[in-house]
Amino acid sequence: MLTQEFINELKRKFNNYFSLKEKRENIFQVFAPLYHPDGDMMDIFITEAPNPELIRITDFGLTLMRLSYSFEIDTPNKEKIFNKILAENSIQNENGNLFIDVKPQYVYHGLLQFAQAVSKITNMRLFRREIIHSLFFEMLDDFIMTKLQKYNPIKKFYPIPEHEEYEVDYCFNQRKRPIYLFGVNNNANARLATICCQKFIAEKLNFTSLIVLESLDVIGKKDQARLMSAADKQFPSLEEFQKRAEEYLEREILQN
Amino acid sequence: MLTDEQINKLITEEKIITKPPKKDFSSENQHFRNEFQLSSLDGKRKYTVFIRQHKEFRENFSIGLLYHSEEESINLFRCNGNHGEVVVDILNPSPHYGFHTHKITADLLENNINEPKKVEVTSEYTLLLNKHWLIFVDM
Repeated sequence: MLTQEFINELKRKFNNYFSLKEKRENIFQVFAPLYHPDGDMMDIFITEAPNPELIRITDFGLTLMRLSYSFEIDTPNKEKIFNKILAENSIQNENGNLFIDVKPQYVYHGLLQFAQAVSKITNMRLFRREIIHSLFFEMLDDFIMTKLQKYNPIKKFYPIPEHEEYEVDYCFNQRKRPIYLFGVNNNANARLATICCQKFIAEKLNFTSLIVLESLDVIGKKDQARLMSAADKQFPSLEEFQKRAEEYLEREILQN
Repeated sequence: MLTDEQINKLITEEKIITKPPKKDFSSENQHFRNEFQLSSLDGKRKYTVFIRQHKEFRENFSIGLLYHSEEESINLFRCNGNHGEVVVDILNPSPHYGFHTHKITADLLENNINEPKKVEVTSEYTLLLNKHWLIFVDM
């Protein structure tokens, strides 16, 4: 499969900073200056492709193993981001094995392309904060509909009949005084939550309002002040809500 | 910002297991995985130990200690198998081979680097395999 001429050509393209070592029979590990930020060389291998005219560049699943140290691709949005990286770099995925099949004369290009993709994938965990921001409602929904299912949450609840402009994200209706929960991660939905709470108060509805903020720094001081005046209870972060939600709901149910 | 002294204390302080590892490793993609949660004795500091091993390339394994501060999780320390080449400085590479460890340092954190880039080749451990378990043996 790999002639000495082929290897010499690759070595030349990498300015001699290249070698192949047989890891297992017909599986060759690439030694080239392609490193992860922590200094580990990227796990890239060359092996036979099913099409004998092509060569397979692959990681044997080691990229996803590395990513899993501190990051899980466990939501549809994260999967979407992951698959977008693969598609944009022409990488295929078979049971966690990432690979591209290339013609021999393009192995150098393929290696660089593959290394780029590996770098983007392992760096998905760096965008945790940004990812969390865009996944806030997805994570909130996942938590409420799985961990708080016993409190029978109702999604998209409209306390005032024929007024769908006043929408509650989740209603826990098991008590005389239902809990209306609003997720807030920007000024716009902070203001909506404030308007809704003030409207429900003006309509003399019997309820408790609960705000779950993505974090304290997602809304401005004035919006925060207005929200604090209008709402009964706020959790300053999703993590805090996840820790204390059950305890809070149990206490509320006992009191009412 | 953590100092080197604080980092060493986090790594070495006595911990209790708050959520033990599963009895058997689970299979995920092309690797086996397990993890367990720990805390400091006073319960104030939380940690995770993750264990990963490639299904076919058993020398590709990783055991790491994550510290969960209020803001983020930091990989304080990690033991790796003999998986290939590792360098301390990517721009001035002097590659090492063999079993090695990664560690975070105060200097790295001060420079906004959360990667455990301090690499040391080690002979402190090797590995024996018993089904899916790793057994560390002092050399």
